[in-house]
Amino acid sequence: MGSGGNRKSNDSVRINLPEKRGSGSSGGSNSSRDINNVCPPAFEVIINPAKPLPDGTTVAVKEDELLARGEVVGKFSAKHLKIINECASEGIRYAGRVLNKDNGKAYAHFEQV
Amino acid sequence: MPTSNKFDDDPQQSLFTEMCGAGEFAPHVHHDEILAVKFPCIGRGRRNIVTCGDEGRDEFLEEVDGLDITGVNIRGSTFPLDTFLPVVPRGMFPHSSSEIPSSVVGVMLNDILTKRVSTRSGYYYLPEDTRINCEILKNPVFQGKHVILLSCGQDVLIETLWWKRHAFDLFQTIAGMGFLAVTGMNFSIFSGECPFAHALNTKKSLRYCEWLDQLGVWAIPHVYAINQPQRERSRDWLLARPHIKLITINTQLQRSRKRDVQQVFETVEFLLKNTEVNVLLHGRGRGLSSEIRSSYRHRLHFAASGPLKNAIIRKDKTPAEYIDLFVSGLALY
Repeated sequence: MGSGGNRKSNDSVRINLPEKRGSGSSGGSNSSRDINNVCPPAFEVIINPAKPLPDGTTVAVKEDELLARGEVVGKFSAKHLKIINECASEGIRYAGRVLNKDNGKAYAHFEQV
Repeated sequence: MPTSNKFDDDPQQSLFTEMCGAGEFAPHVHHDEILAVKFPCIGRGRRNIVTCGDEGRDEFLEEVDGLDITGVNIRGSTFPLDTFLPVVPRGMFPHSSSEIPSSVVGVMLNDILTKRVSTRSGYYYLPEDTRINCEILKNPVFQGKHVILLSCGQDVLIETLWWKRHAFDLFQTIAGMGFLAVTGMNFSIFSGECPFAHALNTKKSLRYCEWLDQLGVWAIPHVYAINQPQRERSRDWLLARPHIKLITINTQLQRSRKRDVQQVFETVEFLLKNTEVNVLLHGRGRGLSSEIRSSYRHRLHFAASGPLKNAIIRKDKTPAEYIDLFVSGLALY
């Protein structure tokens, strides 16, 4: 949105390639996948570290396990693994870090890099 | 390394200027615009914009028939507008139209969707199953009103609706809803980014207007111009179309940086002085010089949702009182 010098950091969208069929005001259905639904800008997974970890601690991924400071703190679901794998094939990668929220839960917050 | 012709807010030419290939798109991109590039055009992953270095660049060009805007034709129309256009927030839809003392009101694109933009994991997203609510103007607040659809919003909203325009049958649907007018989409234009992206987004916004115009809708072109070549291109386009009497400029994001505010009002001033169009400023009006406000008061209109939002949230004044307060404030600053 907007013009100026600074984008809003939470307004991130990857532009999809245009539909091949016609353009303009003509109709037609859109069967293509929206890359932003396949590869969201960020997603979060609840983690359970033995001791609280500070915000920003790096979360590494080994197969379906989430590791922080060498400790297994959580696991990817099949849905999350699908995001990671499908998006990697599109050239989109994610980096994870610990995010402690006000609800008292800790999350691994993954963002596109 | 060239050192002249830089824009005044660019203290030093960036290395990325040398890597920007937008020069091949002259005259739709000016050399000075390339000197202002501060971010890489390659490997951006098509995040928010399509750059000159994008491998799918030609497909995007084909979509809007190139960057040339001289072939875009919009008929334009006229309608008497007050100085202030109240924008009706979704929360006010069930209210009586008599609460708003204006015959013409605005509504935001996000508010005509069944599900609006929300946040997930810290980012905006548009729910996949959202649809245009074709019945929106049947809400009590719009009864007896002329309604202008303001096609502004987050990139997530604008770019997704543009991409899904076929699936949504976007233009036919909007054309059939009974709006008095529809403004052009505010595809983003940020300084330091690839000027090819600026030119592409300008063309997309004008094509949005043109395709609506072809369906009989009064389309109000939206103008973003952040440097002099862009202002001049907008001026030339408008001068060649004197039948276009009204444009809109979105100022909602120019709140935090003084330079951004200055940039947008330089555009307003330039177009007021060099064309005969009226300007509908959507968002912030504060910051426009008093000289411009007084000299061009009959050509300036302001749209904002603040007064009606205040009325429904604070409940200490009526919508009419908040509108009066806003309008009297316009005269003060």
